[in-house]
Amino acid sequence: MKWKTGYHAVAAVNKRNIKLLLRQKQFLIAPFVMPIVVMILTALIMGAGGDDWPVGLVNESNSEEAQEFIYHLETAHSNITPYFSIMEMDHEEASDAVKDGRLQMLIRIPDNFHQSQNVYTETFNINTDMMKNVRLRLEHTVLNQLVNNNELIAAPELITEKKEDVWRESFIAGSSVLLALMFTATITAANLFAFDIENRTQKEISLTPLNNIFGGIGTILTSILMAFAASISTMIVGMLVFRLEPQNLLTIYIGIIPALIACSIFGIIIAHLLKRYRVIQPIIIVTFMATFFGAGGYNSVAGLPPIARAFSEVWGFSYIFEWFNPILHNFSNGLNISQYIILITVACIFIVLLPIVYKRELFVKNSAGQ
Amino acid sequence: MFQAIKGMMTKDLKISFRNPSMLILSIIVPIVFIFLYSLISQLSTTNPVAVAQHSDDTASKELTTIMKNMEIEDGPYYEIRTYDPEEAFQMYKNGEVPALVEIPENFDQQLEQGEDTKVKLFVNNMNSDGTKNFRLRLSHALYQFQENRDSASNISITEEASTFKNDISMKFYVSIGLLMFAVVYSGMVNTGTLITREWEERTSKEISLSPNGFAPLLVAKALTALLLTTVTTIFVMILMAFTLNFPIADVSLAIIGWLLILFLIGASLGAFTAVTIKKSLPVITLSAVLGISLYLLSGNESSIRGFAHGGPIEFIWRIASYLPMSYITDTMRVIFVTGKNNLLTHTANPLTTATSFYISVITIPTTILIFSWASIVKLKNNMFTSGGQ
Repeated sequence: MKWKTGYHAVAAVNKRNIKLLLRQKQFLIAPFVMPIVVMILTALIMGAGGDDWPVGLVNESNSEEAQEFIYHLETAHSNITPYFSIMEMDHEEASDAVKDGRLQMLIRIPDNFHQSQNVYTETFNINTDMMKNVRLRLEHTVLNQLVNNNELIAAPELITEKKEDVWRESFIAGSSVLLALMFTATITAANLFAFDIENRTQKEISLTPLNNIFGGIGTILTSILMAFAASISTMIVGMLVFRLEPQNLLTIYIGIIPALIACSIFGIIIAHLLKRYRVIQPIIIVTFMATFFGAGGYNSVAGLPPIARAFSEVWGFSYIFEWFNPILHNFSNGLNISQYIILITVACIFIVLLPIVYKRELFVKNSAGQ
Repeated sequence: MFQAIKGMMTKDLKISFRNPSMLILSIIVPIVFIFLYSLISQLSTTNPVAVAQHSDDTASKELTTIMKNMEIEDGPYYEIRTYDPEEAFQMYKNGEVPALVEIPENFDQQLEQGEDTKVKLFVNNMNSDGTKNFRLRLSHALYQFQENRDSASNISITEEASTFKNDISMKFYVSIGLLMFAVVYSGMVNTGTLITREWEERTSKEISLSPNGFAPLLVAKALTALLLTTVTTIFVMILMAFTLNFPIADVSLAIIGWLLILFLIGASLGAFTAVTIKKSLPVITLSAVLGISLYLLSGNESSIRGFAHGGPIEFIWRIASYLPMSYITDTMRVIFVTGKNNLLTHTANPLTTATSFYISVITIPTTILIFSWASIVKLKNNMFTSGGQ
C-alpha cells in the first residue's frame, strides 16, 4: 500500500514536471538546443567535412617528374578522403588567395624540378595547427612519390582497429548525443528543483503526508525522460547531417541509466546549494560545454594532453564519453562488469545523498512571507 | 544627475556583492569555460603515443630521437609515453594511448640490406582526425629520417613566402578568441541582468517615478556593467597568462580600446535581450549560447577561411566573416603579434581583406547603435508599463 502511494506520488510529480516543462519552455531551450548547436558548430568548424585541404598548385615544369608529383598530390589520401583539393592553378590568383587567407598554401613546382628536386610554398600561416596540417600533408605526398620510385628507405604502414575510420564529424555527433544525455539530466533536475524553491512548491511538498523524497524521485524520472528525448533529437540531426551511424543503442540507453540518475541528483545538489535557476543555468551549460571539449567529447581521453588527461581522470563525466563512445561506434559491444559496477556504485552514492539534500532543504527557511 | 548615477551604481554594486550569484555569473562562468577549453589547446600540437623500440641499434635510436625532437612553436609533436615494446603494446591494448609506433627489430640491419622496411603505426581509428594526425606525424618523422640518411633522393620543400615571419602560436590564437568570448559574454550578462533585475525585484516602478529622469539609469547601468566586465576580463587574462601563455604584459591602449568596443557590442546585445525578454534566465542562457557560438565562429574565422570552399562550412564562414567580432578578434591578434597599434586600414592588417574591413566599418557602429537605441526605446516603454506593480 505504501509502495502504491509512493508510486502515485512519483507519477504525479513526474506528470506535473512534464506539464511544467511544456509550459515553461525556457527550461527546454538549453537541453534541446545546446547539444545540437555545439554539434553543428564543432563538427562544421573543427570537423569541416573530410581531410581534403584546399591548396593552390602551380606547375612551371614540363618534366615527367613534375607530372608524377602532381599525380601523388592529387591521389594522396587519408582513410576517408583525399588529402588535397586543388583549388587554383594560376600563380597570381593562387598567390592572392594565399595573401587573403582563402588558401593556406600555394605549392609551386619550378621549371627545373627534375634537377633540383625542390618544391616551393607560400603560406597563410595563421596558426601552427593549420600549418601543421598542410605542411605535413605535403611531406606525406613526398613519401608517396619516394615509395613509388623505390627510394624511400623506411615506409610507414598503417594498421587500424576497424577497417573504416569513424569520420571526425560523426565522432563529434556521437559525443554530442552523450552530452545531451548527461547535460539534460543534470540541468533539468537542477531547474525543476530550483523552480520548486523559487516558487515555494518545496514548502507544499514538505507539508504532504508523504516524505518529500518522492518529489526528488519524480524529478529524477522526469530528468531521465527528458535526457532520452533530447538525446534522440540530437541523434537524428547527427544521423541526417553528420554521417552518425549509432550502434548498440539499447545497450547504451540501459547502461547509461545509473549515470543519468547520478547526473540528476548532481543537478539537484547544485540547485540545493545555489538555489536560483538563473545562477544554476549558465554554470551547468558552460561546465558541460567545457567538459565536452576538455574531457573526452571532442577527442578521446587517451589522446588528450597530460594536464587534460589528469583532469579527466577525476572528472567523472569524462568516463561517459570514454566508455559509451566505443559502444556507440561499435568499437565495443558493451560495458564490462567493472564498468557496470562503477556506474551502479556511483549512482548508489548519489542516491544516498538525495535524502540528505531533501532533509537539509526542509531546514532552510526560504518560505519568506508565507 | 551625478548623484543619481552614483546612487544607482552603489545600489547595483552592493546587490551584486551581497548576492554572489552576480559575480558567479560574470566571473566564474567564463573562467570555467576558458580553463577547461585551454586544457585541450595543446591537443592540436602534441599527441600521446607509445613507441615499441625493439632494438637499440643506431637507426632505431635515430628515428626515436627525431620523433622526440619534432616540435613547433607550441610544443613537441609527440608525447612519447614509453619506448618499451611490451609496455607499449599493453598501453595500446588498454586504451591508455590512442596509437603505437613499432620500429622493427634489427631496423639498422634491414636498412643496410635494403629490405622493404616498414615502420608500423597502430591506431584506434574511432576518430578519423586522430588517424590522420598520427599518420601525418609519422610521415613527418620518416621524411626527416630520409633527409638524414638519403637527402639526394628526397624532395625538398622550401617556403618562399609567408604572411607572418613565424607561424602564430595556436595557444595565442585560441587565447584571443577566448578573450573576445569573455568580454562579449560578460558584457551581455552583466548588462542584461542589471536591467532585468529592475523587473524581477519590482523596482522598475520606483525608477520610473524618479524625478531625475531616465538618463541616469542608462549611464549607471552601463558603467556598472563595464566595471564588472573589467573585473572579469582581468581575471580571464591572468588565467590565460598561465594556461595559454597569453601576453598580458603586451596589452596596449589599442587592445583596451578594442576590448571596450567588444564590451559595447556585448552590452547592447545584452540590453536588447533583457528589455525584450525581461527575465534573467533566458538572457543568461542566451548569453552563454551566443558567447560560445561567437567564439567558435568569430574566434576561428581567419583559421577556417582557408578551407571554407563549398558546402556548409563555406556558409558558416561567410556568416562569421560578416560578424564584427571576427574583424576585432583578428585585429587584436595582429596588434599583439606585430606590436603595431595603428591598424586603421585593411592594408596594414594582413588578416583582413578590403571587403571585411569595409563591412566592419559599417557593422561595428551599426550593431552597437541599433541594439542600444532599440533597447533604450523598449526600456522606456516597458519601464512605464510595469503592469501590476
